[in-house]
Amino acid sequence: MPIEAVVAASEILLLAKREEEIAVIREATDCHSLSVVSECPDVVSFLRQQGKYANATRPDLILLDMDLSNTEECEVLTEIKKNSEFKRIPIVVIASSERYEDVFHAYDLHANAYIRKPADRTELVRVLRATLQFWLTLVRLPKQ
Amino acid sequence: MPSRPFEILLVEDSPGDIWLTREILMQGPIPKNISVVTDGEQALDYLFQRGKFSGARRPDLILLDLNLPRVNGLQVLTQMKKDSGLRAITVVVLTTSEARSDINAAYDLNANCYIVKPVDLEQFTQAIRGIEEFWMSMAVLPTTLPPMGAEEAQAEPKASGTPAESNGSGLLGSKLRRRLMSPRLVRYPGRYAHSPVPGRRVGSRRFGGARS
Repeated sequence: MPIEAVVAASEILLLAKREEEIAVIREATDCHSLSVVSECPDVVSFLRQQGKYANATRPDLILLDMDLSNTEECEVLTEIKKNSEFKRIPIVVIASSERYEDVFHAYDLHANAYIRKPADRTELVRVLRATLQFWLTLVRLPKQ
Repeated sequence: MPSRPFEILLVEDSPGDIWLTREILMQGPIPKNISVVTDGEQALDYLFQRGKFSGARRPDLILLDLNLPRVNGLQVLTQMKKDSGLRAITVVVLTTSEARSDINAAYDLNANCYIVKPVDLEQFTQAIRGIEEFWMSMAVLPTTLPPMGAEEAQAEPKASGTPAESNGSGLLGSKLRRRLMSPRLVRYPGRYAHSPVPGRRVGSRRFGGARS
């Protein structure tokens, strides 16, 4: 199968709160199908196809733009990774913090990977593209 | 970046794949130590620092094959991800298996990612380089950062008790903190730094294009 076909078929779910960050991430994920939610409870509603997400497609990859000191955001990670139906979907945490405690906490909650968000916009786009390239072409993702 | 080499534990039973993986990794830009174990039982002994592996260094990244003698890769994952001191270590499953049941089981057991070993030499090289680029330079791993309290502990060594315990914030268990703080994590024991290299099966799968 050509690599392009694999990339184009990927569904990404993003949790991000700030418009400017959503815009950057959208730019980096241009050729993918990106769904964005901005409230923590919506991530689980999306996965469960509840309410306005009744027609949501199961994502291949979840990006959580999060602050590890925010308990509610950590609960989203915990909730997905404890749910036998959704836990196998890889979650990449994108965060500003490079504190040991935050990074450890994310992996301890079974985040699949932790990426530090560079302050520079161009650099962020580069890092996100490389991250998606790795996850969507080299990595074999789980299937239902 | 860490001030010490990146620690990799390669769990692989094929001598050819061990040799090739090491060769490609050693050509990469990141300074690293590669320890090799060839079955799942040794992998668990290494991680739990049992027996001859009592001085083993905590890996930053584990490259785990699934089809292994004695204890298979999924059993290794099960055991280590159940352990609060080990479960934050990144595990990249690197296997020839393309079975959906293996892929799903690995993710369900909290493997960080699953990569199918390409048969083609060039693609195999790209896969290993991709792992190096993503996991050793782009992603942030907990093990490559100084543990909390490490600087203070080094700056003012305590007369009694382990320095780590007096500085922890309670997020980590004391056992884990001791482990992370242990000097053995950063020294070179030497004994396992060099693994068994080329076996007679080297190249049989990939070089020359002949597949048996």
